[in-house]
Amino acid sequence: MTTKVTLTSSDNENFSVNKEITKRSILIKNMLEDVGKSDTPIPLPNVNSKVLRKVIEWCEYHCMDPLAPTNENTENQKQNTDIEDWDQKFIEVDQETLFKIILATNYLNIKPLLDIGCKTITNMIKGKSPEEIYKTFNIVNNFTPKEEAQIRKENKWAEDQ
Amino acid sequence: MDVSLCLPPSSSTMAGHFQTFTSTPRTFPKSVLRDINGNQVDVASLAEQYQLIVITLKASWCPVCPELLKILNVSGLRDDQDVYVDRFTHETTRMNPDTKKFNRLLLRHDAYFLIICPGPESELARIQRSVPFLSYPFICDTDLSLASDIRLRMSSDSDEIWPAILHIRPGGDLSVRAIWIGRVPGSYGQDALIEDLSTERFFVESRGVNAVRDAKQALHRLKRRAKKWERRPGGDVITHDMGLPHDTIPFSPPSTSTSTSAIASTSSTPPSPTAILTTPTTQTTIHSLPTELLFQILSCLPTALDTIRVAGTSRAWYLLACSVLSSQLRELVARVSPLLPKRDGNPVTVAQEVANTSLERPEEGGRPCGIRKLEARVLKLDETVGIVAKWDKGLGRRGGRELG
Repeated sequence: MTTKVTLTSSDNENFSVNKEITKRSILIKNMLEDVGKSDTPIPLPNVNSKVLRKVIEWCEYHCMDPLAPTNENTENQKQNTDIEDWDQKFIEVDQETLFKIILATNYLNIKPLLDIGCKTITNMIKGKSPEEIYKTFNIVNNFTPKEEAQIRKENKWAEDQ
Repeated sequence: MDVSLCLPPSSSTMAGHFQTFTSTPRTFPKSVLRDINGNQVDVASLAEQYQLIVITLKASWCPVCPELLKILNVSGLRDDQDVYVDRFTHETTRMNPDTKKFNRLLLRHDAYFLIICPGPESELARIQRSVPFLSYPFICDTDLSLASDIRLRMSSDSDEIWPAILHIRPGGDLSVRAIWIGRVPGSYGQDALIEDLSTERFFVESRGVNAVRDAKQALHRLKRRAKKWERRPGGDVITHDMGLPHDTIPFSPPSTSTSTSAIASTSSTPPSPTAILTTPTTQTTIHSLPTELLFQILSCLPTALDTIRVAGTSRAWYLLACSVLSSQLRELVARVSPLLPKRDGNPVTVAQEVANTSLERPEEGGRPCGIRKLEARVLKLDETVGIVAKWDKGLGRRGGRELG
């Protein structure tokens, strides 16, 4: 019989999840080890139900994945922004949800999903000019005009590449 | 036994042809072959991983050609053989342990060998066993098509190949460079091969030494650059305004790490996470992410050039870009530096000094590091250092003073 764990989101919604699946989260795994055989729901005050539902969906799909890649693999993976098809579809959400998923996975310590979130943002940034990045992420340019002129000058060669 | 046929044209009256013969442009015709044991040999892949050396044997009956393989065994391929006695000249060669140690690195870890000879296969198998040279594939060129393609067939009506040592370069066209052509008793070309492999290793190592030196200078410049930009023109240290939209009060993430959003809230204490989550108007933006996550995001950019391009987005991104580049440089140096030659335990810092076979060549994970692996790391470091150096040139002296 599969053991279930109850996770409680910040907006007090309960999710009954297979214990093995929740172990994708190092935070929950450690909590479960600490509490032992308790049926007490695990509160996740930093994750709302919408985001938690998405995170559980990801964990369920990836429940059979190996837990940690080897060092040899990670050596060249850092700057590889390729994302598998299913994950790409999964992470097609509005920007705010994307940031919330990233924050949640950082909190829950689910590194593979955190990597997917970060890579998704990297792909949104890649090849864009600062002006396009301002627009994409609603960032205010806080350089002084003099500084901005300086930056443009020193980065001109990079833009021309 | 007619060993004179192993001589290249230069040794006869065709002396003027020798240069042409060795410098003839050659391309290896096939990227995948089958050896005499039926194993697939991926030439293109091997050329990417090693200094791929082709040794051609004139014919299976030639008594001279296998001697080269025996010498390579003694030179460094085999630990259990240190003495070679030339069966033709009776000259004895004893390997010096230091030389053998260096040769072992060149022959076992930098190089990989392909042996090509006309058939029959059974005779090739006999040579492979008797030398022995079992770790490398023997290719039977029965119809001499390979020999013809690499222009080493002795003549159109001959069933023999010019004995040679060739190097297949990596890359799409698999171009072939002659290291040594011809083989006679007492002259097998092994010295030319060792010298060729040494030259390549010294070249990569010296490039690595220079790249590490340049990377350290680049790191110093990046540190200075970041320090300069951490201060406003008026001299205030930047700890607050990180380019966040001013009307946004972001969610403060629960981690203990410093977030850019937390830094950005200048006038009031950030609301507790619960309070924010229950406020429907609260926006979670890119600046809600902790600094280390923004750092991770910028670190995923494929090249240093991409990182520099986004540095102009805001002051925070500029500093993050400096930080990411510094981190990447440190990481690349850490991957190259331990593999460079050492003298008395200290890394060699002058590129010209690497051309010394007695230097200590460190291992990685208990194994010597082959030339291609080191080369790939050195090239990556070199590329990143080059881009950061260009950024410095783009800044120029005048610009530096303007913001200093």
